[in-house]
Amino acid sequence: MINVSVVGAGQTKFGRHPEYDLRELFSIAALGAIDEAGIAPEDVEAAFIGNLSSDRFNDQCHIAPMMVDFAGMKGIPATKCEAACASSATALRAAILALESGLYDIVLAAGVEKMSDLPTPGVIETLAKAADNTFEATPGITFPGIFAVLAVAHMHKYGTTREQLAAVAVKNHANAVHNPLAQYQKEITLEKALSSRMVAWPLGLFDCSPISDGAAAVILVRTKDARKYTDAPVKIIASTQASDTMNLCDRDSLSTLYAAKTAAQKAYKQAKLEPRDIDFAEVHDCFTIAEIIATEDLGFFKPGQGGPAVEQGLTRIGAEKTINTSGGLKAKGHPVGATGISQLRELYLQLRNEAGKRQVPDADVGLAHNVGGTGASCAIHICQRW
Amino acid sequence: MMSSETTILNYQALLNERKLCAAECPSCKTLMLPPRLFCTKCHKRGTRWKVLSGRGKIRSFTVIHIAATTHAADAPFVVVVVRLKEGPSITARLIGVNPLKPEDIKVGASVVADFEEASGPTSDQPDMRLVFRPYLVHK
Ligand SMILES: CC(C)(COP(=O)(O)OP(=O)(O)OC[C@H]1O[C@@H](n2cnc3c(N)ncnc32)[C@H](O)[C@@H]1OP(=O)(O)O)[C@@H](O)C(=O)NCCC(=O)NCCS
Ligand SMILES: [Zn+2]
Repeated sequence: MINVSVVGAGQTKFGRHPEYDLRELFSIAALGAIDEAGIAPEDVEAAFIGNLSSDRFNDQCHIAPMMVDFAGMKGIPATKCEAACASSATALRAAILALESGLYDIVLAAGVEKMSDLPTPGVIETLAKAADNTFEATPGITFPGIFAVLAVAHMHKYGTTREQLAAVAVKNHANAVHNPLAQYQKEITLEKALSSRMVAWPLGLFDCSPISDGAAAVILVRTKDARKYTDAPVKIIASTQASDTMNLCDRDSLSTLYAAKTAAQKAYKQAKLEPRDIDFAEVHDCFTIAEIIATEDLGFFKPGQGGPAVEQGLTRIGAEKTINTSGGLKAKGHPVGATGISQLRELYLQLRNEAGKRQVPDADVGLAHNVGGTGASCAIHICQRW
Repeated sequence: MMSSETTILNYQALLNERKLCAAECPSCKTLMLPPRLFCTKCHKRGTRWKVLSGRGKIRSFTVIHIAATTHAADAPFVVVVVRLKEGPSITARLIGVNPLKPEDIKVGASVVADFEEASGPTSDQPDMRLVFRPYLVHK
């Protein structure tokens, strides 16, 4: 069992932010979390920061010291964690392990990414470097293409339809209407989703998460100290991570993610819970198919049942298994290195009854599922109400 | 080349000779593609090249419409994951099909390897890249 709690969370609005530099985005999120925990920047003893590719997106390496200095935490150990789109969930895990080691009492875990400095083909090229460059990116596969390959395999094996994929986008856009920090706070219709232009067949524009800028941060302490900072801390009761082959071609199955299944099994064991005990989850819907596969890998629905489940409304807020109240990566936005901590912030809000119109009724346990790259990394966290 | 170490560099050199090769374990005969220096099953060293037939079946595929800067001129194009007859699986382009008719491309369809000049860095001898095309049975 993990004995760490969240006592503060902050996030920038996700979207295009030409007005802000990377460090400015970070500081808005970090100081938001610090203020909420009722501490000062000087109280933070260590920082772990998720980021995929500041080097390619922003021409800047070695960002962790720069980030903490700019936000008033000069001098503390500051480490960048990279696991493609799961970067900040691995930063979170590093922060948890640092607290569990007993070395520190107050740790910041954050994530930041500014993707919109590059034009779209440049973003696509940078993200493709999170696949095996020699064997899969060089033939020309893109991230939408990787998940399109999984979609075709899932459709072939289970009869999953484009309408079921589109249902994920429609639901997540509807949830994001109630998230003031989401990139797209507008509903879309099934017809609109289905008629959008192709990105990587069979995935169209509305099957894809967007290009986003943003940052998210949380303040973590050991659970026994948590009530010193807030009346309603949120306990982290499981933190797991697993890996898989980089290459799709090296995998036995193209309709499931082994790293996600492995991390999920370990997480349930760590928390002494089962899939049915999870009231709601933030899952990594970088593409619509990814949410369907996630709900199967996490054991919420049987393999092949993820598509029918979303189509029947079983994953709407308050239904059988609430998925992606925040709007998910699809509509909340996906500044890749910030996504894992942003998911944790949503769990934090929900478990403190602070999620406003997207609040899940009677939510006690939430799960965050953050996938990196082709699924070569996955980190899972389970949180519980105090 | 066939007696060379099973490195990624030598794999490309063999492709340049229009040979698709996998690394074979000297002990348990596991075939590895992309090639490796150690057997994934029994961790033995001393892997050797084995030429593959190039015949295989489509496991899954996509049509890339929005490509990376480096590939934008080729879009739309088809990328396939192929299970080769000898067992290993590899990702490459599929040529000889209409990318705008993806419904005509089928999971399970037979394909065969071919080699194409890759428009790459400025060398006098451009690298060859692996591609697949539909395997047509001659009547
Ligand atoms: C899908 C994608 C290629 C679209 O980029 P684009 O072609 O440059 O689109 P534009 O930015 O020109 O946007 C055109 C319009 O579509 C909207 N839009 C862009 N992406 C969108 C998305 N994913 N969902 C919904 N709307 C989107 C824009 O807001 C814009 O609307 P407007 O004209 O009303 O302002 C891009 O969002 C993308 O690459 N997404 C995937 C990112 C990714 O791979 N992440 C990593 C996952 S592991
Ligand atoms: Zn062997």
